[in-house]
Amino acid sequence: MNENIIKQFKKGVLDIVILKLLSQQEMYGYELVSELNRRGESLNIKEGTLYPILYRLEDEGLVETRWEQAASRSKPKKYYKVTEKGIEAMTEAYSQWKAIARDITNIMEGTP
Amino acid sequence: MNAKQYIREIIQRSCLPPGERKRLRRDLESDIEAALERGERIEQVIERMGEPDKIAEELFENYTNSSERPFREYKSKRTLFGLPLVHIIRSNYAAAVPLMRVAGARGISIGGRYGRVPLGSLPVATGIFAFGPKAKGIISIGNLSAGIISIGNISAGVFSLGNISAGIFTIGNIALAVLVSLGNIVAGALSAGNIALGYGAIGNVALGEYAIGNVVYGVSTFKISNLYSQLEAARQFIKGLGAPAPIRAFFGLADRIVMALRDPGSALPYKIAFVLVLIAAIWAIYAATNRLLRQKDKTDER
Repeated sequence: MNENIIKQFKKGVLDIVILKLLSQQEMYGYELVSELNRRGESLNIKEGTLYPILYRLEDEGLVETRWEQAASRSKPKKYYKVTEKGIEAMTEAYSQWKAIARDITNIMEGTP
Repeated sequence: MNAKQYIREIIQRSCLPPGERKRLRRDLESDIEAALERGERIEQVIERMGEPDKIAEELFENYTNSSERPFREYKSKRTLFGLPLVHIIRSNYAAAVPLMRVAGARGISIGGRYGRVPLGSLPVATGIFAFGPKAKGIISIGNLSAGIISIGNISAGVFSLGNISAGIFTIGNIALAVLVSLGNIVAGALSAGNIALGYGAIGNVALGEYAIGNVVYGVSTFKISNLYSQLEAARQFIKGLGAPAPIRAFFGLADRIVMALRDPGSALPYKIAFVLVLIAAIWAIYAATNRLLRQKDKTDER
């Protein structure tokens, strides 16, 4: 399939998926990448895509961050977690996505 | 490539604004260290995350909705001392940048959420011959340049030529040198300029242990109010100086330059030849870099 179409698909849904994962537990970037890649090939993501999404969500107040400096590390670790506003946005976006998915399935399968 | 170099390369090539670069750097540092803690080697991290250019391209695209970063690049495969023989970076907006600087614009708008590319956000050209807005190499030419021989608006190197230059031998509007500096405002062991500060200094205003000029401050000084009528007296002063040989040689060289300029007509052929050589050199560099960039574009298209 055209790579651009896949890119566009992902762009649309990654926000919801990331918000969902972060609503289950706070995570740092590397954990998020590993988790998404573990969940399925279709969600395979790299840092070059993840960081801009996280920063946008952070700027919109949908996620917040916390730094943790462990004694064994030279650099602090940055954790992301979802905010109340993020949960609301995710819930709303997910219902929208379900409606879109249902309508697309109907069209693609020829259901009247 | 170690983690630090990897992160630096990604950041440089991402062309993002300074604030975003800082945020990105901290995340990359945090996540790469986390991966290393989990037992990955840096080579594995790079293989998983991708080459710096690839990840930088992806970052830029996701930030700006534009897949084309604001520069063209040529890097030769042939290397010497671990450096590419030729590395060229050319801004896509090179012609617009000076105007934008005059207008006080902070960046070029290309759309997207963070869609303004800062003027100084391009990667550094690094090579034996390096050409770019920022260039670093044995011979480097750029707005900011550093190298053994560096030419640029702001340049630093063993031999550097620029508006502001620093190094061992320098020529510039403002030139600072360990040994010889020539220009408008200059400082160095041996300096000649409008305002010159040095162990041996020649200038309109000269400050030094040995100073010759219109206004002089120093230990052994010679004040000139009329260069032409006092030239012979100045020569006698230089001859009679108990100064070290390099100082005398420097003053002797200045004398020759003054003689060459004394009769503008006699120096005219040299001046014309100099300007022609300069124009030819600039044209040759521009044409050669352009050709290499075009070749690279064609290869990419295939």
